[in-house]
Amino acid sequence: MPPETPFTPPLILDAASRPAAARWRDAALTVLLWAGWAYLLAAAIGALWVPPFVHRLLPVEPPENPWRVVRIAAFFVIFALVLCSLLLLRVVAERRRYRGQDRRRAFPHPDDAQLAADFGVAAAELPSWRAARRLVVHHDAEGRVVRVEA
Amino acid sequence: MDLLSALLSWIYAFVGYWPLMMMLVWTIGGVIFFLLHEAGGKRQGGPPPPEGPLPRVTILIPCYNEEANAEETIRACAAQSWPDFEIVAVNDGSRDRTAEVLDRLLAEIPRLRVVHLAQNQGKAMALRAGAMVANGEVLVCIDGDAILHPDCVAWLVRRFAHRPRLGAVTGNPRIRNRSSLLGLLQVGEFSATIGLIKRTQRLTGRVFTVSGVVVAFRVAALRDVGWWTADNLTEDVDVTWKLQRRRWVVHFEPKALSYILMPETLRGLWKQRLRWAEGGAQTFLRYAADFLRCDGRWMWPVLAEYVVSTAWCYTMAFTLAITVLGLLGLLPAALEPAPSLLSAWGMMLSVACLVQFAVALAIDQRHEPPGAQVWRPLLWVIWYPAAFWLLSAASTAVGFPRALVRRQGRRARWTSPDRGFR
Repeated sequence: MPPETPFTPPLILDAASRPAAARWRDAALTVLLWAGWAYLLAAAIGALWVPPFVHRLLPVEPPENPWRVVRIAAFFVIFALVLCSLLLLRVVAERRRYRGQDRRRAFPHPDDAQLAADFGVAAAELPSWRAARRLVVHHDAEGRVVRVEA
Repeated sequence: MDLLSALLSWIYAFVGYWPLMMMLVWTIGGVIFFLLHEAGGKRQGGPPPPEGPLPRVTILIPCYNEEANAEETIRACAAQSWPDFEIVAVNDGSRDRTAEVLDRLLAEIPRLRVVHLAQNQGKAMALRAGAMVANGEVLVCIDGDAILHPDCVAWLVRRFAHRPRLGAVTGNPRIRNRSSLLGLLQVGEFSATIGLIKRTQRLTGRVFTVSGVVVAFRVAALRDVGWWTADNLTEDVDVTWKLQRRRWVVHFEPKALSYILMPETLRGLWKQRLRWAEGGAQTFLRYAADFLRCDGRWMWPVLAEYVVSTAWCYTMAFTLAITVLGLLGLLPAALEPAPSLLSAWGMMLSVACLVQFAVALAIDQRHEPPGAQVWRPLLWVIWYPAAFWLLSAASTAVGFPRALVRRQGRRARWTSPDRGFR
């Protein structure tokens, strides 16, 4: 037997069809955006603790009460932590409840009569269609199956 | 004027606070799910062999104009490690050479069966035709351009054993095309947004949607909810809500990997996101009322998140319009958002977004092959809050009213957008 070939995920990390100019444009714009972001980050941090004379170099006026922004963000962090803790509790409770065999009712696999009723076809035809390797299905305008060629 | 100014300041606060809160919830929830279900497990390889009788599996592949992708997809399916399965490829009235490709593969792959629909019927109808002739007790539904990891079906199907009320298990789609800005942003998005949301929603016990590109259904559950809905533009969202409405459980299996192609042009991306938004709204409008009873309470977090996020999209568009009017000098200064507030919150949100992406990529690192340049999307993530939030807000703002006026019963048919650069 030939050795089994290991699976290699078919990632496309470098598409040949993408023009080089487009890649350079993306890279240049992204570098610019990062530079702008770093500048604004400096401003945001500067609003909290950089000496006032440095503020003259920054692009915007600092908020009147910068620590308020930090406090609101901290509130949301705590709120999200509490919410996720409640979700964790729910998971733990459900694990305890369904520990061991799940005794809830299982639905049986539908039989041919049920399937035929759902799809509007004759139940007697289904076994032959399931055995066929190639089928052609015709629908009418409403989407009902009108003919199947096996 | 004071009242209007106060109202606007509430709106601006909502635009800033809501995404921050949801980013934190998704990130913390995603980490909890990771610690509960993923950490410590082996990184590579298939699941342990299941106990008891193995269910027969049918892999259903609806194909519409997939001549370029169908062969690769079907060959990957044929290489699955699950012992007992068949492949049913449904050619949905394709206008290209898909029929020829499928018929040729029929001779080569014994597990393959082919169903040709005489006319294009739409994805939901193609799935129904495949289900009608399937032999499996479990249907694994994938797209015509998806490439499954050899253990994907095994990871999905093992969950059905001993869980009689498990209706569906959704897998973990990984993006193949990662060579452009849009491609890499979507890699980050699938980890940081879609992946973390699914993980967190599983903690609530309900999910917004399975991934139509890789999902396994118990046939009995599908039958119980009336199969797929033919007039919904996102048949995966629709069937997820129908299953949960009938109290079927939906799981997320992050180890079930499916490699997919995504659009890498703005036009293709917009077309796809608009369809997602419109289909999501169709589902909400159709089923939300059914969950307002007490026995639907576990779906309330999903409903609430959808309603508030949709409202956020409109307030975001409104705030942008107000800002532009202010810049043009057409608005009194008292009504404009304060520049210092915008900069402080903009920075807070962008830092939170970076943290969210870093955490998500760290979690998904174990599902990436060596040499996949896992952290590369972080270099480009700076675009995400600016570009993708706007895209999402705009697609929802346009998609929701389109769903409101869309005629019920009108068959959902669409052509996939571009599949990126090769």
